[in-house]
Amino acid sequence: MEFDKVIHEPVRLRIMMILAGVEQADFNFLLTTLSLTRGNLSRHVEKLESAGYLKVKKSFNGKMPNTSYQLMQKGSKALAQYWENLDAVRQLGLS
Amino acid sequence: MNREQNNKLQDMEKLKEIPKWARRYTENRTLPFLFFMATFMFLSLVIAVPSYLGGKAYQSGNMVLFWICSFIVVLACAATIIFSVPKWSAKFTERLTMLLYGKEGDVKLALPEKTKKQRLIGSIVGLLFGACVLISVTLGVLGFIPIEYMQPVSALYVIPFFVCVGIWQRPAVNPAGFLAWLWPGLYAIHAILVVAGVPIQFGRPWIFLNMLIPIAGYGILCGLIGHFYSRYALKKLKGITHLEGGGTSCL
Repeated sequence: MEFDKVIHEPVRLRIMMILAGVEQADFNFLLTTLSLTRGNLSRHVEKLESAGYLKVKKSFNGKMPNTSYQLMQKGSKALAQYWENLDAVRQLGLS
Repeated sequence: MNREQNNKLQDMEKLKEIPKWARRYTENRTLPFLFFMATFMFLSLVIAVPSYLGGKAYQSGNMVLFWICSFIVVLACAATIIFSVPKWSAKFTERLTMLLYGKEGDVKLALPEKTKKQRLIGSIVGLLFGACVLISVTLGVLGFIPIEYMQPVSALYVIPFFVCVGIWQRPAVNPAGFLAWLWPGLYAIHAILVVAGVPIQFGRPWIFLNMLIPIAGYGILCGLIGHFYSRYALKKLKGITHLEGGGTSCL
């Protein structure tokens, strides 16, 4: 059984899980919630975006640029599959 | 599987709670709601005080004061209607949310696109609510509804209105969450207690507080509970998402 390497990384898994609970979250919310550096968070969301798991929305709040992220259907499926695989491994470990 | 691996798997299990706490945090960012309550509180005062004075003026035959009070009440009712229609207040709420919670970042729940029919229903509900306020206040001013029963009478349209608003805002407002129904619930209990004759009413000249406290008082109470719950949810969320070792460890 293989884990999705894109999601398996702890920061990316947490980003995906936050976005699974809401419609969209912006860069600042992820930054403050996960207590990451800007560069670190940028790298992780770029990987998720290039995997097609996230949709990036750029807009303006007044004059301030704002970047929001939304979980794509492909991302939701991949996340569900990831947890399915993890539960299967866990079951194997318990038995 | 050794103990260390088992512990890591259990930690992973906690991560399944992230969507729940992210959602609860988002649902309970209620400061803009508190602002709206303060606005409604002000509007209620602007409706209640001239209604009381207008009633007095009508009874004593002072028609100039009566018409001035009526004009103010109509203006306040119109403002209530504007604030009650979700379409008109949605953008303002969004801006206010960004202003109040900007430091924590922006996070939104899914608001499904309303069809034309649904938008029309929303507008009709808002207008009906405004009309009910206007009619009941007018009947109160003219003495058809005893002032002590204004709150129980208003409960007949306030509670259905808030139930409609709760349903309208799904899934942004979780109808299964107790906070969505706390306010209409308290308002209904208050009305029942008044009808049952429990002495919870103010006498003259503070009679207008009999309406204001159930509407704004319970609303502000629920908003504050929601806001503090959002702090708790954010703390839980941060606790679960906290990464030891700067997020470099992996299962």
